[in-house]
Amino acid sequence: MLSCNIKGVTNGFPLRLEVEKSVEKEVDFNADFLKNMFPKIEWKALVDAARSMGYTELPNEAESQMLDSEEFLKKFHHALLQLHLEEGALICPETGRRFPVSKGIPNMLLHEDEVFDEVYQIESQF
Amino acid sequence: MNSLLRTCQTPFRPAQREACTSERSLNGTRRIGWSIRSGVGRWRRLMVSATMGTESGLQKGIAEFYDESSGIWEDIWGDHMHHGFYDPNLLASVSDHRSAQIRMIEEALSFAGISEDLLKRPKSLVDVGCGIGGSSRYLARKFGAQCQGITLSPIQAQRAQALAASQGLADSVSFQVADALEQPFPDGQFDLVWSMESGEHMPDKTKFVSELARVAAPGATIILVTWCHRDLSPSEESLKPDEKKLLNKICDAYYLPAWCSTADYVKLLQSLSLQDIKAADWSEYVAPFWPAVIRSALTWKGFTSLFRTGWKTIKGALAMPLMMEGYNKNLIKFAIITCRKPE
Repeated sequence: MLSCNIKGVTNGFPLRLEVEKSVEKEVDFNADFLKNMFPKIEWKALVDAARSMGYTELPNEAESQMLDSEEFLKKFHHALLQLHLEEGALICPETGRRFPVSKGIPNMLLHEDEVFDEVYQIESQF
Repeated sequence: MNSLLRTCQTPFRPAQREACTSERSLNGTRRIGWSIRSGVGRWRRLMVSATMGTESGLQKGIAEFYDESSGIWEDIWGDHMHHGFYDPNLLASVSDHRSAQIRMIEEALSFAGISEDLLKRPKSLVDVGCGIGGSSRYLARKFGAQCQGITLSPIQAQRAQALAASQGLADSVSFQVADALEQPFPDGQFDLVWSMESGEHMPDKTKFVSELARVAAPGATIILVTWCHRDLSPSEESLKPDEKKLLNKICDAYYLPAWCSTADYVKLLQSLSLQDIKAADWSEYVAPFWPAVIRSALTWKGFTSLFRTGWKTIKGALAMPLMMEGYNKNLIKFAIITCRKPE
């Protein structure tokens, strides 16, 4: 899970997806892994992200009892592990700042004016 | 609220830095000096090379250095971009170095007391300064855990992801281009925070350590393996001039903005109320490493590869004897510092 860390941003998660190119990759199904991951996932964020990639099969809400269902697990597996953003951007929900994604790698580097820095200043006149 | 502000509101403030001053060294090169409060009210100067310029200039330099040199490193040394851990006084052969690098990871985990027990082992890890992902993939595989890696180098991130995919780890390891001083993760996300030989690149050790602590979950372990300079004696205000000179030369070649001592790191961790802080000097266990790297550069393959890469890599290669000199003079220390975030 990535979040936006620009200075002063209070709601930097979840980042929205801007999809230019997405790919589906085959990943081995592992039910135990999914059950372990489930408590750590912001379900709504996953649903929204999957939807922006064109996958609408996930239920809007999920509870741990649903992990007993093979059908649910398969959908969870697909959304979490098989959908990949290749080209596009992650968007800060508060500022709209775009973090570009290229070849599947997000670039989360902040520009200098986005960094809050109370003690660190190198004056250019030095 | 920016997480650094949250950190600053805790009762124990991390060591503060004064406004910088500048001085001119003998050869006229401008050096920017930073003072860091060393825990008992004394101020000491860290030397920062003026060639680094702004922080973004440093980031660009680091990114370009690794964009340029990672390929040749991987070609000759494989996917771990850190020192090997060797038995002292044992002559290491070429084939030993790969296993020594693996051993370094295992020794670090053991030093930090990381459990391999299924229930207690870490389930989510961050690799801060991940290179081409050697540690990330190793740890993810070892613990069956999720690992995120961050690096300033887009080429490294790309290569790291490709290697993960080819090793069937694409579902558990992911990489992004990001700044260790502004980690793109919410607070408390990781059970294990891993920084293997990346601390040297951080211009602001306070911010670096604060971020390590911030992204660590309650009860998580932080493992920091990094190059430090020797601890100062109580009567010393700073390193000797010739020591500073040697470190500055190394700084320029490897895009290292500042050196601090192991004791400085320990004080920073203490100021953040981290617990079970342990530190050790592993310099004797890494002694064969730099001679081995130099030897590899002097092989036909190494030599010709260097010329194909670029000036930054060549400069880095030329600086290797300086690293050896630093170790031999007991100026440079290979340090491990580990701690736990309170529950």
